Amino acid sequence: MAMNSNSKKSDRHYLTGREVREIAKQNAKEMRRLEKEKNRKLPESAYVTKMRDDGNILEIENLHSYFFTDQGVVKAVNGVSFNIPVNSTVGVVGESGCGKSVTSMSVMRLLQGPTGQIVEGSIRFKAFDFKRDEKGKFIPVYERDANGEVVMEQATDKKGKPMFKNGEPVMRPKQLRDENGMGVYEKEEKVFDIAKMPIKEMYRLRGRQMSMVFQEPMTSLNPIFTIGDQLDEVTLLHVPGADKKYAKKHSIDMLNLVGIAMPERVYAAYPHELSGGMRQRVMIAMALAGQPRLIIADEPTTALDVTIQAQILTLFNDLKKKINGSILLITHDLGVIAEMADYVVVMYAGRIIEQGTASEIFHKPCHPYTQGLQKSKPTMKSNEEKLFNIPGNVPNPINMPDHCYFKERCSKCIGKCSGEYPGMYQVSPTHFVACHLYASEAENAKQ
Amino acid sequence: MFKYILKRLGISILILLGVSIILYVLLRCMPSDFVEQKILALATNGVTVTDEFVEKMKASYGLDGTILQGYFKWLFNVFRLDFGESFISHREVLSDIFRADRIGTSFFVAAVATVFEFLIAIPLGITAATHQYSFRDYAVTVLVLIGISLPSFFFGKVLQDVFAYKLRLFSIAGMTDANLSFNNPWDEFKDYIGHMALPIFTVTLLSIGGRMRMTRTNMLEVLNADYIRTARAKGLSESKVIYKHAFRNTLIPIVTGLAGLIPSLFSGAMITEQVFKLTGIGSYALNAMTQGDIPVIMTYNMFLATLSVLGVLMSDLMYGLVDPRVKLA
Repeated sequence: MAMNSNSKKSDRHYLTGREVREIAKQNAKEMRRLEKEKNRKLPESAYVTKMRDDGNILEIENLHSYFFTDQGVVKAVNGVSFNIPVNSTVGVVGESGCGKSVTSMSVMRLLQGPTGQIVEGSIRFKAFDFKRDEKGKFIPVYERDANGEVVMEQATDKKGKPMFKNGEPVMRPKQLRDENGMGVYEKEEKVFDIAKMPIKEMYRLRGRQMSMVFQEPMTSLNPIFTIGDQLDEVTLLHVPGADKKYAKKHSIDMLNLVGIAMPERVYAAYPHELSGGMRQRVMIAMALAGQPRLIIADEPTTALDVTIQAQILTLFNDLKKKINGSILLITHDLGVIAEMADYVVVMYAGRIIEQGTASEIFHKPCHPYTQGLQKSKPTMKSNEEKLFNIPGNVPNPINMPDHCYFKERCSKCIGKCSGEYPGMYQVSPTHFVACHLYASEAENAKQ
Repeated sequence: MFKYILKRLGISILILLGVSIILYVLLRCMPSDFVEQKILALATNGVTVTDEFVEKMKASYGLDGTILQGYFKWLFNVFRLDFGESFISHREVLSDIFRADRIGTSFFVAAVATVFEFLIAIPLGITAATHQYSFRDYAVTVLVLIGISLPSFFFGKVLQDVFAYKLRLFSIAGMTDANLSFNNPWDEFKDYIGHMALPIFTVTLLSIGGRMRMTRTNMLEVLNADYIRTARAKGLSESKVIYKHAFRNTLIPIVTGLAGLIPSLFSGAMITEQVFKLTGIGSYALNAMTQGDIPVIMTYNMFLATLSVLGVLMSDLMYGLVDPRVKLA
C-alpha cells in the first residue's frame, strides 16, 4: 500500500501542489482497483467460508476501511476485530470520528464509493438464506401427509382457475404454506465473507439477513414516497410470492410491533407529516420487516429527545426477544450501552482499544481512555463542580503516529508508550485491552 | 386549487401590464426609430426631405406624440384585439407571426430539439453522476463542455460544411429545394426533414450541456442523501435505488426547469435560423428589432412574456404534483 507519500511532510499544515497531485494519482489507482474488485463476478465458493466459532453470527477480523481523500488516505477503521454471538447485543462506543459508523457501514457494504473502501480483512456472517437449485431458483417445501408422502393438488393457472389437460385435472405437489398463506421454501445456513462478496450479491443479505437503523430519522426516509410504499417495498422484495395486499398487512403489523398507535394513518402518511420519534419507529419497522437475524443500530437515539430515547431503547430490548436476533448497537452514549449491551467494544481512532462484557467495561475499565470516558459521565453522586474531560484531541487521521494513538492525551504514560502500537492484552477470559500498562498483568494471567 | 389558479392568473395580468410598459418605453427610447431610418435611406439617395414630410411620416406610423400617448393607444388597440400591422411588411402582425412557416418552423425545430435534449441529456447526467470521477464521467463532462462552448454560428457552419457540402446528406440551408417539384406529400416531408435536420442538431447539441450538468448535479446531491442509503440497506437493487428512489427526487428540479422551456419553444433560435436561412420567428424578430418595427416586437415579446408567466404557473402546479411536501393554497 503506497500511502505514506506525505511522510516527508514536516509540520506544515498545507500540501503543496505536487503532493496533492501525487496523492490524487495514487488514490485513483487504488480506488480503481478496489472498485473493480467490488464489481467483478465471483463463484460462490470464493466468498462462502466457515465461522471460527459457531456460536457467533458475525465475526469481524482485521477490518481495514479507508477513505481515499485528496488530503491523503484516512484510515477510518484500522484493524478492527470483534464477534457478535447469536442472540446478544454488542455495543460499540467511542467519540465522534473514531470509526464506529464506518465499521457498521462496512458490514452492510454501504461505504460511499469510490472514496470509501474496505481494503483488507474479513467479515464473516452466518446467513439463513433460501436454498437455490442450479438455476438459482428457490426450492419449495412440499406438504406431506402422515405417511411422509407428498400431497398433490390440482394446478391452477395465473387467474386461479383449475387447469385441465385432455379432460384430466393437472396435478402438482402442494407447497407448504405458513400462517400468512405465503409459500415456504427450503432454507440453509451459509457463512458469507462480506468483505470479499461482489457488491451485487449483497442484495441477498441486506434487508433480509441484516438490516440497519440509521442515525438520522429526519432524513433517512425518502420524502416523496409514503411510509406505506417504503415499508411494502421491503416485504415485496424479501418475501417470495408476496403481493401488495399481503405487503400492506405485514407493514401494518410491523408498525404495530414498534408501538405506533394509528398504523393505518401512518401507513398512508408522508415522512414530513411525522415527528422524529415516529420516523425512527418507522425506520425500525422497516429494518424488521424483512425478518433479519442481525440489526445494526447506528446511534438510533442520537437525534431524539430523552423521553423518546428511552422508548426506542425499550423497544429494541423487547424486539430482540421477539425476533430472536442479534443487535450491533453503535453509540457514544455510555448510558445506552449500559442498559442494552451484553458485550462492549471501545474504539479509538479507528482501532479497538478495549473489549469485554458490559460489566467488565463498566466496573473494571482498564484502558486510560475508557476510564476517562467513565469519569466524564455526569453522575448524581459526584459533588464536583466541573465535569472531567479527557485533554487534547484525536490525532489527525491521515498521519497516524506509530506509537499508541492515545499517548498524547494519556495521564498514565510509561516509557514503553513511545514504542510500537500495543497489542491486545488479555486481562480476563473475555476482557481485552490494548495498553502497555497491562503487559505484565497479561503475562501473569497466562502463567 | 381552483381559487389558487385564479389568483395567480389575476396577478399574471398585472405582471404582463408592467412588462408591456417597460417594453414600449424601451422601444421608443431607442436611438433611431423606423421613420428616421427610412428618412436616412431617402436622404442618402439624394431625395430632399422636408420637416413637414417627416412629421407626416411619424404620424402615419403612430410615432408622433409622447411615449405615454403612444403606449395607451397601443394598449387600447390590444384590448380590442388589434395588434396593428408590421411597419415593414404592412401586413397584420398576428397573421404575420402565427404562420406555419414562421412560428411553425421555429416551434418544430425547438420542439424536436427539446425532446432530443431531454432524451440525451438526462441519461447522460444520470450515468455521469452514478459513475462519478470515472472515465465515463470525465468523458461526458468534457464532451458536453465542448457543446456548451461552441458558438452556434461556428458549429452550424461546420455542420453545413461536413454534412451538407461534403457528405451531401442534408440540404445546406433554406426551407425547401427550389428546383424540385413534389408529387406526393412523402417527398415533401422528406425534403422538409432534410432542411430541418442540421438546425435541430445544432440546437440540440448546444442545449444538452446545461441540462446534463443540471441533472448530474441534482442526481449527485440526491445520491448522497440519507434516504438513498436507507434504500440500499433495504436490499433494493442498484437500478431500483437509482431509477425509483433517486430519480423521482431528481425529477423535481427538472420539472421546474420545464417552465423556462415553454417560451423557448416559441421564441426561435435567432442565430441558428440566420445560419441556416430559415424563415423562423427568431430571424424575423431580429430583423424587426434592428429596423424598429414596434408592433411586431411588442407582439412577439408580449407573446413570450405571456408564455413565461403561464410556464411559471404550470411549473408551480407541477411542483405540487411531484413533491408531496408542497401544498398549493
